[in-house]
Amino acid sequence: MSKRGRASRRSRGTTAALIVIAVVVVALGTAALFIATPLLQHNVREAAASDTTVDIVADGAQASVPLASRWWSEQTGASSVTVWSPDGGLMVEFALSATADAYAAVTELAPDDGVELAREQTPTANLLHARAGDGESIAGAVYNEQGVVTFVAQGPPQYDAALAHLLAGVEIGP
Amino acid sequence: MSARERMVRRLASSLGAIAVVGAAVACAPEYDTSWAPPAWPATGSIVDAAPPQPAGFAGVELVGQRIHNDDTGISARWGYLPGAAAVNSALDDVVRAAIEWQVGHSGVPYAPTPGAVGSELGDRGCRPSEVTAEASSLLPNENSTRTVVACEVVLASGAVFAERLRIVTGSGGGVLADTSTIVYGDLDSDTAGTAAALFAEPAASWTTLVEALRRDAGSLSVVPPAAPTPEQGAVIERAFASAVVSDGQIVVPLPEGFSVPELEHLPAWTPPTPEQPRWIAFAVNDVALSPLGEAVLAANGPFASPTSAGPGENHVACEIVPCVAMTLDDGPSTLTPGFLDVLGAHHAAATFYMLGIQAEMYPETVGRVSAEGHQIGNHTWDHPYLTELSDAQIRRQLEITEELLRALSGQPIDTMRPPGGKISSHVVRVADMPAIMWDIDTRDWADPDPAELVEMTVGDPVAGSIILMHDVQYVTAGAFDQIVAGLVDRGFALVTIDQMFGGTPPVGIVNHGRE
Repeated sequence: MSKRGRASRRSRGTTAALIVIAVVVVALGTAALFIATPLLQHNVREAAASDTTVDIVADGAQASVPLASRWWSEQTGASSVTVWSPDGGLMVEFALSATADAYAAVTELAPDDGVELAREQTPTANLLHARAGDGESIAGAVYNEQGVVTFVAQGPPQYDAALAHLLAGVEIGP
Repeated sequence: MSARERMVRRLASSLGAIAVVGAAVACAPEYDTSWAPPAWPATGSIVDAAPPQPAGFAGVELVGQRIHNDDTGISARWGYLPGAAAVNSALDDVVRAAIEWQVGHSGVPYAPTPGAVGSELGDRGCRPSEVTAEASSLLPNENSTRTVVACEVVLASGAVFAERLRIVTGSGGGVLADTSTIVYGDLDSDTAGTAAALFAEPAASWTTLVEALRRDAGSLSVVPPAAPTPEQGAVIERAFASAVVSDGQIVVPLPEGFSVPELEHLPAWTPPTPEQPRWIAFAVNDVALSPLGEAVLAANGPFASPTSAGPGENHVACEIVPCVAMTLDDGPSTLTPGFLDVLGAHHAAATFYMLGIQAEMYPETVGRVSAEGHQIGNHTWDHPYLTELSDAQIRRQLEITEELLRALSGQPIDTMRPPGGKISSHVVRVADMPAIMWDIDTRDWADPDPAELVEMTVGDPVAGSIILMHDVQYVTAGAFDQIVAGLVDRGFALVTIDQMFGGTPPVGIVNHGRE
């Protein structure tokens, strides 16, 4: 075989190998998406099929965050979870701490400096919150003797009622 | 690298990119854009500008009332709607509250007191200009605190009536308070009350109010507001009493300094102050209305004004206005119609103690006295001194007279006046009805000087006086118009014996209306 013939044969082989590799990559990627995804515990956003709760734990404390049907959640860590309203217009990031000072934690999270915190109650715990000047975000905490669940909510004021009901369902236990 | 190899590399890169993008697209959440966030339950909205008061309404005839008491420091004008018992009683409540307010400021107890002769207190009822005038212009220029009440009709439609009372308190130094209360009435059901009575469940209205306020202040709590304490209920009742109903809304003023635990820790909440008053407006569909409230909001069409059966049937509150009972003995006579004309012209009532023999001669006059709303009492058949009669004779005198007067007038005859004033406890027991005497004896039967008769009859009575005159005396007939006009000018309400005692004269011998 001539030099040109051998070069041509090598070129065809390389091409075939590259094509096979590309197909395998796509196939594996697809398989990973549809088969492996359900096996992953973290960093996967999914919608609740029915009313449920998401548990978060930290340093001996645990909390449950209610998740109504069709709401989205993504557990970003053992002690943190982010939830979204079904339309995606409201996003709330929750984080649990067994040792945090609720006031200090919310003050640090508050969108504006020097803002005075509102103090209220949920059915089972205390509630602190502060709204940003633009009204589009709220930082706060639901807390009792067992722990502090801080939250940062992003969404316009028309989601306040939805946020309030979400916070009302947060339960903190030992 | 050959062109083919470059093409393959590009193809592999493209496939890889497609795989990555496809994975990203496949992992992106499918948000439901048809989902809408829940809204807060319907509540009111906060209003920082005073709502316009309803405009005055002309063309309704009221029975004008007026008091002017310099000791306590209160002047008030209001008007009763003839025959509307519930409305008039509710108006009394508002006036009493204003009096109590002023008593609290002045420290001087209130008693209905007539003015001096020439006080011009016959000018009674509403002056609509006073409800829109500058508050300070209503107050006298003196250092002591005074309260002034002004009135106007603001609604008269179908069977619904509403009268606004404006209460201004202050002194020459300034206005302390300027509030309005509207009394609403449904004549079909004879129910009435302030704006607070338009709501079905005060406790539910409290919850709605607190909810509206805390949502306005950015609350994120869904814990229901606590039920109002009795003190809070009283505060909100007073606030609702001053509510304004118009254009499908009920606008309630928030009391100065109002706050509740649900609001105290919300930085965005600021209690109302005199410099920054606040109101809360409810859509009428968002509050539970009482039957009165529904009637008020549904009112339409011409006003079905109730008619009065006469001044003796009108509502009067003798614990608020100074009352005097004019009593006329020994008739009916040919002069009695003239007395009735005078009383009618001044919208005044009287009690006629009639003799049976006179009633027998003038039965039509007996009928007219009753038809024009005056009271008829028993003065015996032919004027004997009852203390000189036997028990049987006493009973005979009274019974045959009562039977005739009742038949001619259609009204119960349940008080008596002994001829000559001759009475004893024994006679009262036999008569078995109150013996109405007097404290002002005009002695008009003694042929007095007419001017002196007028001066004494107008100048001597006090609140609660019972005046004795005779509708058979020509001097009295000639002076009667001056007398009645003079009493009205002093601020008296001329009432029947029944009106003086709220429908139930005391038993025994009665000399004065304050017994």
